[in-house]
Amino acid sequence: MFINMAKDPALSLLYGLISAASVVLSLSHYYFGHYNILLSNITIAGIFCFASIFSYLNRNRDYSNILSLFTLSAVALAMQYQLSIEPVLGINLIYSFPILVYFVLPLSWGVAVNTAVVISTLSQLLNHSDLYESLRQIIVLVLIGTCSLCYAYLNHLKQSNLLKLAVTDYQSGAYNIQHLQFKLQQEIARSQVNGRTLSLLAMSIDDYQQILEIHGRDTSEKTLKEIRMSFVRLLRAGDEIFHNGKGTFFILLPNCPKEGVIVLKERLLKHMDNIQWGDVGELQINAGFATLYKGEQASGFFQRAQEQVQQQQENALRLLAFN
Amino acid sequence: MAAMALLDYLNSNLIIAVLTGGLALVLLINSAYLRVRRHHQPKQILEWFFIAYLALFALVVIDQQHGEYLYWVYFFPIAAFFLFRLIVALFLLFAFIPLALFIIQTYAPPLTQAQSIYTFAAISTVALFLASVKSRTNKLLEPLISSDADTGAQLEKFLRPALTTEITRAEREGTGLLLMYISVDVFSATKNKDKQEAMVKMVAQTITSSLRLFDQYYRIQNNNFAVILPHTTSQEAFDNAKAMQQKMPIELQQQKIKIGLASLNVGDTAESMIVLARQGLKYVY
Repeated sequence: MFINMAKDPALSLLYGLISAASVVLSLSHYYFGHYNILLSNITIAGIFCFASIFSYLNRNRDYSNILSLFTLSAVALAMQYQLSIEPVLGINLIYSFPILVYFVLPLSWGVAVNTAVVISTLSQLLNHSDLYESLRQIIVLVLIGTCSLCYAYLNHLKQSNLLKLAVTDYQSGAYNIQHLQFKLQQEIARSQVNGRTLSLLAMSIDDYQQILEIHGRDTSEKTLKEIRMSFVRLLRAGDEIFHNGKGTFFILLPNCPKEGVIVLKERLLKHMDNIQWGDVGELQINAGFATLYKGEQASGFFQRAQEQVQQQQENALRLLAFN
Repeated sequence: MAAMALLDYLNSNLIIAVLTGGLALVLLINSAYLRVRRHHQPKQILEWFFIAYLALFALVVIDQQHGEYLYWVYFFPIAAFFLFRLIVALFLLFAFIPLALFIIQTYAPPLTQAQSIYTFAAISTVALFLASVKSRTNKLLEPLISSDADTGAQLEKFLRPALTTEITRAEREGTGLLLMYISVDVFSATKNKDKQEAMVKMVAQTITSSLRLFDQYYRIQNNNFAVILPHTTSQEAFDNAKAMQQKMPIELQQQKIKIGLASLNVGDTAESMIVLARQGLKYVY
């Protein structure tokens, strides 16, 4: 079986597995007569089951973090309740909590949640056990938490270092927006040396976020890749395509005057109008461009192209409302 | 770990205190080793020793305390996935599972066995998921990287496509294009690997400081560099090379750096320009 280990599908699968294990654990508690903690265990299984289904259906990453925060907070409360009535079983259950938190939540949130759990657990343990035993158990919990934090932090560090070095947007295969900033500086310097024109064409997919939510990540990525390929076929060698990760493509056109960009823009729009984009159907594209002024900086140049696209988006919305 | 050892000592568990202290000592030695050898590729021997010690430690300590210290089995999956590659960690985990189940079945009270197995399984699964997501992310991101982290130069695999694009551009615009090949012999300058790496970095810095914003440079095999210089004539490139040579580290200035130039001619391809530049390598004074 192929399991997609992208963070969100993995999260859904993980919640599902923990939910199933919690059901098995509940049956075991029932068998051994731990009726007092049976309800809290079934509650934990239910919470994980709900989170698993929600993560599977949800496509918005912001909701995913908030849902996970609520899920883990609810589970932490159930664990604390269990600790108050069955300290031996409760503390064993809590040992599995820190690593789960660091996998699911952003690091800073994870540290906050785990610190709260450690403080609450310590206060409960001091009520149930002697000082030596409480300290020993809390040190184990802190050790597990620290190991998990280091592991998650190193992962995060490596990933962010790789992201800094990456020049390609993995969704579309085009260069990413960071690389556009670098290339703009480079091409502006070159244009100043050779005295040739430089233009930037921006093409934005209308309602890209909606397409992402309706059709899912896979279809959106496939569409972005197809759009990029359709651009590549119509561009010259040396023209470069960039994607900002939010449905807007930028095409850097060295040695291309204003008239050339207008022709190219119309040609690209006409070409895209004639294509049927699979499940997505027809795409509404807004386009804008800027040709470099003498002495203009990269930021101003980029801003002008982007503002034209935004202007066109607003006009399209007004027209829609009017109709 | 030292705090745990101290607690055991204060509670008159001398053997456990010594064993826990031993584990803390292994971690300390590992940390000191990594600190001292931070510029080298670390050897994994101490990590293997640590993971083996941890497995044995869990067995002995739990046996000594008749199941009281069962939590030590939970550390194994975290340590395995943290210290080793995914595939090695999986192998270690599968090798440890029978021992963990034996420990839980033998030493845990019957009423808590299911809970202990649940916790062990949950920690192992989350550690596995964390490692898998990490491995997948790295696999996705690594091909997207275009530059060498040490020198900031572009990677060799991007040289030919970029040069091909530049050739097309130069032919379309009717401008000059030059490829500069720089061969640095750091091996005869010093035998010390750290110094060699430092020299390569200094060479890269010198090259960067001598380039215009739109020139592109690439690190290629055996500490060589290739620089694409658009809108440049052979004479300009030669002067640039001489100026660059004078700014290089002193150890490398005498008979250690060769520079080759190839100017774009009709019918040239990326490959032919690279071959020409390589053939033209010579000392520049």
